[in-house]
Amino acid sequence: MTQTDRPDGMTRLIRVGAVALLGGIVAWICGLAVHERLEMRQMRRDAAVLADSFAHDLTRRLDVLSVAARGWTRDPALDLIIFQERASAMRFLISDIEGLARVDSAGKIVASIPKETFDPQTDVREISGLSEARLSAIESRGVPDIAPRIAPPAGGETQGHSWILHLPVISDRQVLGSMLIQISLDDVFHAHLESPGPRAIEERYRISATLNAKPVSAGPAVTPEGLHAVGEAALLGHALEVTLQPGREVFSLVAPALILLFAVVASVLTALCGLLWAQRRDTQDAKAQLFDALNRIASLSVALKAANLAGERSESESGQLRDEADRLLSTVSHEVRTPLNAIMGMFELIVSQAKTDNVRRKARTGLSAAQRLHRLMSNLLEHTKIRGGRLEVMRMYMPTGLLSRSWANTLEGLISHARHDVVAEVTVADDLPDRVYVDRERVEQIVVNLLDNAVKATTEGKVQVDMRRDGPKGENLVITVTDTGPGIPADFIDSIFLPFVYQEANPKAAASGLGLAISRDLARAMEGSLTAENLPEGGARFTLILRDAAGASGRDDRLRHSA
Amino acid sequence: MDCLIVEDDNDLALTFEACLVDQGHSAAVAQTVEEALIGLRDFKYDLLLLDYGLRDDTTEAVVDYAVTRCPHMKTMLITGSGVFPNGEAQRYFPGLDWILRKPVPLADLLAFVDHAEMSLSRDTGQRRVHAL
Repeated sequence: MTQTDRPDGMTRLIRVGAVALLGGIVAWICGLAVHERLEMRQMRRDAAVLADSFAHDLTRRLDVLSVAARGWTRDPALDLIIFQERASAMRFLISDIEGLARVDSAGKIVASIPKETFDPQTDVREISGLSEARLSAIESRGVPDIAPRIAPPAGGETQGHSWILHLPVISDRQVLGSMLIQISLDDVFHAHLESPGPRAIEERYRISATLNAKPVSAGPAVTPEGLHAVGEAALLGHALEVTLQPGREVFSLVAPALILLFAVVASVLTALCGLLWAQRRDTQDAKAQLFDALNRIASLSVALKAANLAGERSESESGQLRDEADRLLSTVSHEVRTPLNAIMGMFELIVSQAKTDNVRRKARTGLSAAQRLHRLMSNLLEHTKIRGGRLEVMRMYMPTGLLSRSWANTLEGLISHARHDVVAEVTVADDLPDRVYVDRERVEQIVVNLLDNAVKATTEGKVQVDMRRDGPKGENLVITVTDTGPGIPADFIDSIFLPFVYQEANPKAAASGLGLAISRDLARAMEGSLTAENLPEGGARFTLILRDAAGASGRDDRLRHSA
Repeated sequence: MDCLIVEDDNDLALTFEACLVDQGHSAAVAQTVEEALIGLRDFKYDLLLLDYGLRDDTTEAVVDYAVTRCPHMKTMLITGSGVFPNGEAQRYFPGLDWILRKPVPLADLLAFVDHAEMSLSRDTGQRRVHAL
């Protein structure tokens, strides 16, 4: 499986945070844009409503406004600027009054009077046609059907987005006519932009028109100075008060905070989504890795099982081959013994019956070769038996003297046969028990092998066998074979107990290469050890230690165990 | 001394036979169990040298028949077989006197033969004394 490099937790957190922050900023900007757009649309709608409402309210409050036509004088300075002078908040209204129009009783414009040429004294008298009842209703206020009508711009008198207010001009229960006021929606809109706030005119402006107690007269014209003097908006005998209400701008103030909060929430949500997404991706990756690991484990398990089966099969086959080889070697060894016996026997017969020394010497050579072959076969068989675990060790109490005498005789015979100038010496420690617990056959096999090697290696000097006890309680039997020969070569001493290792430097000592290996295996089979060392004064020493063989026990039990 | 050699290997049988004859003994050779049983039935031998495994069978029956047929006869098993690696043959051949491992040096073989001859002479002498 390919292991992808993954950022650590901190790096991932920073990345998610950055993405979340970016997302929040984008959300904030988008929110602002949307809010701005919505606000703009709403403001445009509000402006229209505002103008409409304003006009309605204004006319509703002015519906009883009586205009003393005679009191009106055409004064360019006065010319409706009075409203502007009265309240700056109404400047858009007043400043945008384009003029007056005369309408008949049906509301049809019969003449338009630009403000530059407007003359109330003459122009408004032409408006008439209202009934007495309606006039009374107008005077008492609150009659809707005589409310000033608001009409969209018509004809060439108005331009752009405007509303036209038709104000009845009544004097002495006589409708003198109506006054037309044109209001520019654009100015309303811009004013609304400059001071955004409530969407309803009632909330934005307080417009009130009260009937002035002062009787309307056609007296002197009201002048701006006069208005200022009374302190109240006096319009043709009525007070008109228009003040700007403080806008309810909470939303406007809160909107950025809300947007910011929205951005923060969006950031948090984005971060959470990022974390969840990362977590999910991690989970998916982990799951994929887990599945991959499981697949690998399954594959390895199958491979392991196959390998185990192959190993078991191989081991079984190897065991079968080893057993087969052991059987073959055992069979061959046994089968070879019979013809080998015939060969050796014939050579012996020839030796015994030879007429001449030459024939006798040749027969002895053949007999020696046959005997060496016999030893090789025996050692191979023994080695195979030990390695195959088929060696049985049978320990019993044997008289110490019997062993020592046997080895002394063997040593004497070997020396005599080798015709070396060697002294044989066998010593037994005084504290050694009379009986030792050993497998006599195997111990003798080891000792005789050591003696044979020692005699072969020693042409003159001494070969000595020592028996003593050792161990904390003196329970171990120690048998040493010491010679005064050349010793063991340094490069050979470490491998002297390995099978099939020959001492090339000493052809005389060359044999099967199994004697010492078998001796060590036999020692181990008897829970003992066999070691070799060179002596400082020359010669070699082999030490056989048999555990619990020198313990003082009178029992003559026999123990068998497989080695 | 009359010896019966039960050995299926012709060369070894000839070697043993030559060795014994050279020492003044008489020797016959049987190479199968059947031949050995027939020889024991027809003639009373003093010494029986036999291998364990022959071509047709193993030689337990030969030993059993020999000790029954000729109680005084000395029996010597000479085998190279690994069937009895630790001397167990004595348990399965109660009538055996000696067990030797191939290859047997002829000097050792002759020593055993001499020993058997002496034992046989002593036994027969005792019998003669009893007869008298």
